[in-house]
Amino acid sequence: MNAMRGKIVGIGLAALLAATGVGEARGETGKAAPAKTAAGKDTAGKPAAGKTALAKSTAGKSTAKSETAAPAKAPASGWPANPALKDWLAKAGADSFFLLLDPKAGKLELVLGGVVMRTFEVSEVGVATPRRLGPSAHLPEDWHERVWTGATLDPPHPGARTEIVGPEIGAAETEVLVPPTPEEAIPVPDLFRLRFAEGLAIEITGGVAEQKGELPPAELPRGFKEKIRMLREGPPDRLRLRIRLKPEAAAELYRSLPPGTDFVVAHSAE
Amino acid sequence: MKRRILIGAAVLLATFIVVGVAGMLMIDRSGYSYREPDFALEGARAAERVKLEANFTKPPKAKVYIVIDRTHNRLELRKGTKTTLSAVCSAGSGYRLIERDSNKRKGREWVFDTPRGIHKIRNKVTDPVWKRPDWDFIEKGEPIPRNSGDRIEYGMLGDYALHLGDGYMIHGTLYERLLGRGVTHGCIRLGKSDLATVFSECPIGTPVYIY
Repeated sequence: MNAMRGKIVGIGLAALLAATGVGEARGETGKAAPAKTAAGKDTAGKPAAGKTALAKSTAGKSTAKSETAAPAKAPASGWPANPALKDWLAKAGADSFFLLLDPKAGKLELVLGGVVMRTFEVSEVGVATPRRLGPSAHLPEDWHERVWTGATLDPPHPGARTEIVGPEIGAAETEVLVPPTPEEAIPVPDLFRLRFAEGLAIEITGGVAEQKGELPPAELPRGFKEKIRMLREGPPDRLRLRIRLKPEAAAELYRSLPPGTDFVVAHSAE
Repeated sequence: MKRRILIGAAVLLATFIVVGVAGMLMIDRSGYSYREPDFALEGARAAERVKLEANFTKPPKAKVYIVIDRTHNRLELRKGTKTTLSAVCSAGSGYRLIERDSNKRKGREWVFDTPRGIHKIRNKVTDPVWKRPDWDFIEKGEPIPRNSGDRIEYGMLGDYALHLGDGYMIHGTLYERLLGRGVTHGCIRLGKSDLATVFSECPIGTPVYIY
């Protein structure tokens, strides 16, 4: 009887530990990561069990495919699948900002009117759909063949402007206000998102990829909070694209990203 | 009796474990599962896309152009894709100046931003003279002069000014120690030698990209 009770408690505890991910984490440390791959992670930095890794997609064509990835489909007739992109391309030289991700070249460019303002080196790209109990949603087929517009930055820049009022006429000379440096004025989060109107969120992090692509510890509480929020409110984004940059590059992009920047993926011939 | 208590406790424990496991699973299975994206296109789609993408980015037709990062106060002079000068500058502070009358009532407002977008050099001036706008008097607590001659100030803009339109200029400064900070009222300030380079290299019509 005692032995039976012990077994029941043991099984219960093991199940609890497995559910919290403790068991998985323990298991991982004992194994070597597969070559060329890094474990797929969710926002909380916990392993996305059963998923293949986020290899450096900058190396070109995918080498590893997730078992949950959308099934490959036969190429449709012409390109682009989304005609709005064709219209947008015609205007790409106009006075508008866009971010251009070139996964093959491993770079993210901030472009104004067709001219590259700044190039950021991309070290890792991952794509995700919301995950609930059961399988993940499939990726929308044309997500990388369209232009994403209507962006909002999350978290936004500090909104309030400093207001100054000149001294009264004839008053003693006041001290000149020296504005802060950009680094002082705009604090940069470890991870920020650019959310587009039709459900894509680009998640940009400057966090150093730890073993198996974990997010920095600072992001863990945020990830857990987000999971709880997702349970309550449902997923905030239809699709997420994580782009990992060097920390200083991510910070520069966050600080200088113009509002209303569009996003498009550049495809290179395979 | 003892047996019943034990069974009750076991049931409670089991319920607790089941609810706990289910809750943790729900939390764990929410979120996003990341995987490597497959960007590949094949056949005609890829060929057409690559052809159209040639229009995504290209340097401007002008021989030389200027790129300014107004947040980090950096100016680059580029020829094609090559950067020939990288300089520290000062862009707009982003401050909002509010005019108040003698009864402290709110009057006009100015926002000291450097405007993002594509501009071009419209005029080039040597030894520019600054005609002080109203905001400069208000900011310093001085009465706004009736005579426009009282607005003229020499030497404030350095050796050269390149006009971008709407009163915005690339010019010099007396306060080179503040280069690298956004301290201006919207203009771009450059150090003496960098300004001389930009002035000599950029003809009228040179595109200026500000982001």
